[in-house]
Amino acid sequence: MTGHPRHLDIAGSMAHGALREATALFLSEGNPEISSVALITHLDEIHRLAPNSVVVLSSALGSGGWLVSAALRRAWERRASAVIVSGSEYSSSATRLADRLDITLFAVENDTSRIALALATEIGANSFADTALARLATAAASATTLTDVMLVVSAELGGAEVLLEYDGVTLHTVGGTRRGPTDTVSTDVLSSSLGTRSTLTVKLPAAQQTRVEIARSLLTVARPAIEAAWLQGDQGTASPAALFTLDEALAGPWSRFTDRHRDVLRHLGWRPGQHYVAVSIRRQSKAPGSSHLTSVVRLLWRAVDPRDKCAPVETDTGWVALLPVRETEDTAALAIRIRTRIGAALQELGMAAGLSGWRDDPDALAPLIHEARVAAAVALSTRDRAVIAFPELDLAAAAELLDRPEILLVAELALPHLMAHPDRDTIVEAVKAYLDHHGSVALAAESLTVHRNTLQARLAKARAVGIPIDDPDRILAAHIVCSTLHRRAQATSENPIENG
Amino acid sequence: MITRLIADDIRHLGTGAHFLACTIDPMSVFSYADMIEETMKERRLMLVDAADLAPDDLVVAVGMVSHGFTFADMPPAGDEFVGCVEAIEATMGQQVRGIYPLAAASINGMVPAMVALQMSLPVIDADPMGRVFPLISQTTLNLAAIPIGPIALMGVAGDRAVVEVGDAQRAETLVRSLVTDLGGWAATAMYPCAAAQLRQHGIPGSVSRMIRIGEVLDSDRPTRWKHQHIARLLGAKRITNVRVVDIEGASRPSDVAVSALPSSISLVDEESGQVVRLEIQNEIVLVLVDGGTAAAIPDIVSLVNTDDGTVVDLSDIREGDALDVVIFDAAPPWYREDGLRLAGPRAFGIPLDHPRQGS
Repeated sequence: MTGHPRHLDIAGSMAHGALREATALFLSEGNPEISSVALITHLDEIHRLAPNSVVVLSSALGSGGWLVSAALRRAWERRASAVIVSGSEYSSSATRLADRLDITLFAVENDTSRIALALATEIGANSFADTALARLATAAASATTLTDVMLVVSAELGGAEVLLEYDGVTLHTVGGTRRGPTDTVSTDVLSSSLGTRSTLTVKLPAAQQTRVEIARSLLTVARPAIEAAWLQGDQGTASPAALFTLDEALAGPWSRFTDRHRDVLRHLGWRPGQHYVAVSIRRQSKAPGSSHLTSVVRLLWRAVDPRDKCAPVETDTGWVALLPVRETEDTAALAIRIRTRIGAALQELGMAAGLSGWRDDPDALAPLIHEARVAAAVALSTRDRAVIAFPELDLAAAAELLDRPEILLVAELALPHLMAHPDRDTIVEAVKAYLDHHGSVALAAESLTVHRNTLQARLAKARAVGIPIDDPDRILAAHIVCSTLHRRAQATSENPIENG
Repeated sequence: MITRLIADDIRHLGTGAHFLACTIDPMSVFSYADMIEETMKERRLMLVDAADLAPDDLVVAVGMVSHGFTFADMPPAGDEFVGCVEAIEATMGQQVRGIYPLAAASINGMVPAMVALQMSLPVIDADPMGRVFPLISQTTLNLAAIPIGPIALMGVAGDRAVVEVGDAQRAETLVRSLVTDLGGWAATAMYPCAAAQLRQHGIPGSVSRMIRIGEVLDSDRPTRWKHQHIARLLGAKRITNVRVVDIEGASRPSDVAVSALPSSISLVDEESGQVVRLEIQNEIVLVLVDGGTAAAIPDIVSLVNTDDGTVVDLSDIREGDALDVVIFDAAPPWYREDGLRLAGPRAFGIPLDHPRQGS
């Protein structure tokens, strides 16, 4: 597994091996090799040791600072690599003597025989790398989450930064970030399943060739556990069929949906009475078959929801998640949080996210999801912001959208009184004509072959239902919306809103 | 050789007794010196060699055996040691002709002079330890199979016991037990033997050596002269001018048979950087220099102040003190195999061979 024999040394064992458990009381200037380890029960045994041994003082030998001093001297005479003593047996004078003799001195809290055995195992494996790999395999097998497995890898490499990347975008990171130059070691993960290259990467301090080789071996061993943990995390996703039904069902009465699609709601994490903000994640390409990206999106989402309580579920046009919120929670602040944590990664993946606004009615799931989708669509179209909250858009969203279904959706959300009005089509026609003629009531009335007073009355109704025909900033959006509604009215479709 | 001791000799004797043990509580040594000097105004005190006595003359060792208490805690009435010697005489049916110290150091180096004055007997210039050991079985007489008993003990309350026992190890157990009940310390007389036996198996000249040590250290000569002459007198090696950097109490497990709280003192030679470690158990039992064994019991180790050459009290050592460590050989019998077995490092719970073992 390790390729070629390596020498054990003090620094390596401190970084990856048994000596990680020991407290270094003094470290000699060199980095001596470790050729053997001896659990000493009689001081004279040290005289028989080969050079580069690690001298471990057995608890059975007794205790006392003099013992450590005498052992240090004998170890020094035998050119031992280090002396390990029980934590209660050293004093400042022992440390002082280790310094004078320039011999490494460790203390351990537990029974010294344990560390002697661990060192012997490393030596028996001919390298601490083999031991580390065996330890990693054991630890990774018991880790249940992706984070846990990555933490195991990081720990074996002295807390090195470990990243999971998809197409160059960092989806998940554990371990500390190091300053200064680093060496990078990577291995492909789930690339065949995802269709796009994804990698598990370790960043190590530069110029530590031994650690680079160990890291390479560790990643190879860890890869199956990483893949298993990643895929296991996606098992909570609802089936595509159910999700398509979700889209369809949102167009119908809510009460019917809750009865028929409890499973979908469960996957969304929805609970009756809880207030939510919906989040829609969409991507540029509308090509079908993006299911493999669900793994990526869900992993990315952990930066927003580390406990994975409200993982995104896949829909026919992207992904939807429900974030539980308190009444006082600011949607804009939520958007900023999401933008900060995953905005850059979303943009790099050609994706965008939209958030719904706040609704008094906790059961208003359909409008929440629609708002989120519209916001995501605007975010995708504008490209300057990866995450947008619907309250930031309002009717102006229409101006950003050339997509008719989206505009109709905006109208449905922003002008509910108009959409419910019995004279909706007449009002829309009047507003469109009025705006088509740049605010000329006379010309508009003439184009519609109605009296000026009739048109005035219809415009008054338009104002009453919230169409901003007198607001210069919003007049364009109102024009677009009314034009779109008018075109639909001319068509024969009975559906008020298309799924988008 | 028969020598009449004078007051100055007693003062030097006290200094020498203190030096040979770095006594934790030297007050009792100097209190005895004062009492002896006072008594000497009326009586003569003779120091004799064992060879100056008839070979069959009965001689006996006197010494204080303590188990927690000292003279300072419970001062003697004055007749305790005389009572012990008289008990030996009664038991043996023979008059004692000479007194010798159980240990030629510390308080037990002083007691025989007082007893000798009280009983008009000479002090014999010999002892069975040649230094001080904590156990009454750690004697050259025991090495030579000279019986330790009968042993007479007398406590401060006037209680007296005679233990008729031959085996020194068994005697150790019995005496320690009795001492506890007698009040924490007891005057004892033991190792009653013929003068010829003491001459053959004891350590000769150990009393006069204490006086000579005192003569050097009590002199008005410069400190440097004192250091040099002590080294010459004792054939000692010195570790000079090392500074105390660390003092540890209870630094090792204590042996039940040896009632002393082990402690350690670490010193550093500020010029060479050498790290010196002293392990103490009543006396200094081990000296490590840079972790190597520079001295181990039965070697005799003493401490003097670098600045003025005075003897250091172990209980008064503080961090920052500058000391000279003086190391010299014990009597030759202690380096025999049986001697090291009885009084070497392992007898004090230190799992080390003496440097002379195996060499």
